[in-house]
Amino acid sequence: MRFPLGFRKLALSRWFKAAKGSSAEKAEPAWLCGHSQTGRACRIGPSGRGACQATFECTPSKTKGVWRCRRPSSHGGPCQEGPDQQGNCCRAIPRCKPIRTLRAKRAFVSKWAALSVAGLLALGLAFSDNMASLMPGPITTAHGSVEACSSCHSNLAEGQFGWLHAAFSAADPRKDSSACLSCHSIGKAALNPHGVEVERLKAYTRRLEATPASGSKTAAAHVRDGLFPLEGAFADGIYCATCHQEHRGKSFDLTTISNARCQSCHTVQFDSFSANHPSFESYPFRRRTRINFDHGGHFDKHFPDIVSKKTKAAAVPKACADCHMTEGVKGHMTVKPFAEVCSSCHLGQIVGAERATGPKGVALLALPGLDIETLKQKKAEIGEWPEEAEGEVTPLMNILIGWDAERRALLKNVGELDLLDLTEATDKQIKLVEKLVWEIKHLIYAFITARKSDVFKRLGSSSADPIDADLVAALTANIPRDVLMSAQAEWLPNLLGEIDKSRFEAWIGSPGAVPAASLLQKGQTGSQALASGLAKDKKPDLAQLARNAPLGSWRVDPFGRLIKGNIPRELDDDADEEEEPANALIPAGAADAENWAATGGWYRQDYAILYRPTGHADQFLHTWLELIAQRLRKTGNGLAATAFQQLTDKDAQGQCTKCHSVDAADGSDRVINWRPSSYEMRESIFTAFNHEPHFGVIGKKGCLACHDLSNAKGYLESYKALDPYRFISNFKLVEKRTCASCHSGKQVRDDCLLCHKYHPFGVGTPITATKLPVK
Amino acid sequence: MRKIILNAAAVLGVLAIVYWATDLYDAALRDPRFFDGWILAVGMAAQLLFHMRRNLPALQIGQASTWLRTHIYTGYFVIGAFAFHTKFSLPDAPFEWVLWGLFALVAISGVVGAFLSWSIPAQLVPDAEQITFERIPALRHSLAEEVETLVTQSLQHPGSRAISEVYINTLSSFFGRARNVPAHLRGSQRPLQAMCVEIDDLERYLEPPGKDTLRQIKDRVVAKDRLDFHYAHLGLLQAWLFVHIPATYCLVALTLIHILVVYAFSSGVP
Repeated sequence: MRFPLGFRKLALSRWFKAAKGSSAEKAEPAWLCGHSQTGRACRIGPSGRGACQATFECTPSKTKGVWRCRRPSSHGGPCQEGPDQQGNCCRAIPRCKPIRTLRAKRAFVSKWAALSVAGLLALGLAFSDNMASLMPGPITTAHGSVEACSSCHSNLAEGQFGWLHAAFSAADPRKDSSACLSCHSIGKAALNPHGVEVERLKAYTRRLEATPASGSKTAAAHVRDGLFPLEGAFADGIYCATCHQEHRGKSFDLTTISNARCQSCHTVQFDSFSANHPSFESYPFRRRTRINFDHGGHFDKHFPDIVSKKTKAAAVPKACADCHMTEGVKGHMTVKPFAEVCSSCHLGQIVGAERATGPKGVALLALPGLDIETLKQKKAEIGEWPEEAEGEVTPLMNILIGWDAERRALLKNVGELDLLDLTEATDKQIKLVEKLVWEIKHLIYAFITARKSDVFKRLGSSSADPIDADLVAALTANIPRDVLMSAQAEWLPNLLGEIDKSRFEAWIGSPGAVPAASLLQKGQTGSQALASGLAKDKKPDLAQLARNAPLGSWRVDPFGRLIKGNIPRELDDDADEEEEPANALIPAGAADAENWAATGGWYRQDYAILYRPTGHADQFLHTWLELIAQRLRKTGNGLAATAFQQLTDKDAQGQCTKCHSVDAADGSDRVINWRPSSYEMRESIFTAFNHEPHFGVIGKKGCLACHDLSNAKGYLESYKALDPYRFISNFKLVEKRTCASCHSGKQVRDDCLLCHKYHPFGVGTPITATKLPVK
Repeated sequence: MRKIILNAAAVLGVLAIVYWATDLYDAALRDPRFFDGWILAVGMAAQLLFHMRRNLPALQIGQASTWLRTHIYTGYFVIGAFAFHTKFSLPDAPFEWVLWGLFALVAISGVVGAFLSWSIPAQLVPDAEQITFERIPALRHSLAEEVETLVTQSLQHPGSRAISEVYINTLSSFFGRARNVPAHLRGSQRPLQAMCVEIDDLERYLEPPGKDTLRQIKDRVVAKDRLDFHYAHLGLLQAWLFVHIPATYCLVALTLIHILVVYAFSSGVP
């Protein structure tokens, strides 16, 4: 109900009057009679607004026809003269200038002061360009370029006094946080505690709940949870402004957060680090080191041996810092590069220089030895095959051939046979061997005639995960075609004629290959046609070219040369000219192929094409191992497992996994640890230890002050298993008391943020979207 | 004294509880500025009740002295709450500086006023309660009239002309308005002694009736001096309120604006 203004004033004045009448203390008037200064204040007094109301000293009354003076006794009582006959008082009160009381003066000053201040503020706001004067403090320098308040305060309405509207409308913290996240990237779960996914948080919570806490929840924490419960208050998330409170000065550290705040959500709560922080569990080694380096073995055996033999003695490190260094500004300890600290002793093991038996290179292709005689007896159609071949199907061939389930089954079944003695093989098994032979021949043919990417494309799991050009280059180590062709020419000289076009198309999975004849133009050599076809990204079908080209008995060989093919030797004019063996030109006493490739690269030996590692971090081995590990993860096939086992064996060429440990945390996924621990790959994402500030305070013991050597045996043996979390360390664990001896809060910080991070994955800032000034 | 200590301890105890509760509020991931800010606002509103009690007859509940004592101790509490709210630091923005300055003005004037209210009444004569600041001009006028009457009567006695000369030269202006206010505030009686010496020096030139008149005049001079003493001190008791109350009005106005601004720019975080 809305009352007229007059009614309210009336009601108020009536209330005051009633109050005055009932009160023992009367309110002091705002104005005093001007005569009060001489002690002769009139009985009437000034009006409420300070006007003199002086009339006469009394208001006579008529009693029984006679006018009588009614001057109050406080002002002298009835006067002697009395009123005149008309009833007028004969004593007029001289007019005065009323005086404002001190209280009234104060009230007057107070009201005007308040109105003036509020008015000045309103004027200032009305004529100012921004609301900076209302800010509780400057914003941090990092946010200094933000000019409009509404950039962050999403609730603000437009206009100079739009903030007044905002004062009476509910703010949406999610919107404000969105404004923060438009520049600061914390991931999809930004408003979750720690910006971490719920499942991961649950896992951490379970781990913390299992932590034996040395202290119990403090009394203060109980009171806090009772008075200000967290449950429900942050159901929608923890907003940015919950912790980051701006307007506290240009240099204010927005990332500070108190220990008490950190602990408010945590299951394990305690007073301080030195007092009740849970003891360290397996710190700092929650898992084994990624690089299998036996400190104990090196300190006790290898280094003394080298020194005693005086070979490479200079390479033996003298101090921890000879091998270890801090990583950038993060203060994370890592190891120096292989070339600096390991190479002098271990490079020879990688390139095979110190290998006493077996090939020093990894075989990419090899012709397995076959029981040719039996195969002929059983009329197996394997075409030509060198009787001298005695190798095996290499792990890499297994991967290249076994790209589908059928072929993997084939390889598995044939693998169970002794290919050099097939006398007891069944017809079905002979068929399998025959099939394998053609798979190998197709593979060699494909390597020679098709693009490498076509050979490897089937290894990609899907169109979304293709084998790209860089990967193909790495997987082949850019093997020269000549190496393949010379091998083919020597091992299987009639291969090109043996391969049927349609079968090869089906095998390679590239139907619609360009007919070879169409590539040949008048006067064009086969080589030119090949180049032309490749340039146009076409797929020349060289087999077709060989058979159907209008060149009579001539064909185009993979070299691009026109040669006579498929011509019975006895009919060939040049058949009498015996081809010289490939090595016929190599003088006697020259280095054999393997030693020739001592610095790494491709070489051919017997019926195999091999690759010798070029040194540490060899891309060929690295890529093949990663590819096989990946296939092992994806398909879980036994073929990949066997290949992986062969390539990671302790005697495998390159000996990569001698140092680079292989993990399989859940028993199936193989992860090869190519790099030592780094800041980015640390698992304890909430904890960050900065080594550098400690170097000056660890005294003579140095690193051993914290990392004391352990006498426990079995470091190397623990790497034979694949679980990285079950291991035996070279070092004793770091105990909490080691840290607490300094970090007690008295002289050295011991707050949560010293070692723990709230945003474990950091906060990213998107790169500028500046476009190139291209006209 | 024991009561003062107990009251001070109570204020400190409540402040400690507020500080602790604010700390807990902060630890519960809330913005503590809202918590101690509202405690401060409630404390300030409670202080205003004293002002309302004095000005609104309907609120004449309890004794005035109890209200004053409560007002003073609540004031100390509010100063503490203000320190918590501002994190014991100086402001860093224009509006905040005005607020801070006004609060400081109100607080300092309040503390000074409390000291004056405690120290001055003890210096006044026992019946000082009867002498209100507003009545002093009338009392002074009365004394002036009495002295003028005495001087006029003394003219009837030969040899008393000196009295009228003294009156014209010195006493008329002395009784005309409040005199020697600074000296009274310092507690100095030198002006009175000087005037008494002047009056006493005059006595040797007067006949017995004149001496009697002079003695009566001297009594009134002393009375006027005491009246001036009261004027100076009671005036001081009134003067600090001219700082305290207008500053309070301004502070209340700006505090309301401050609360509006806080909620307008709040992110809505609990």
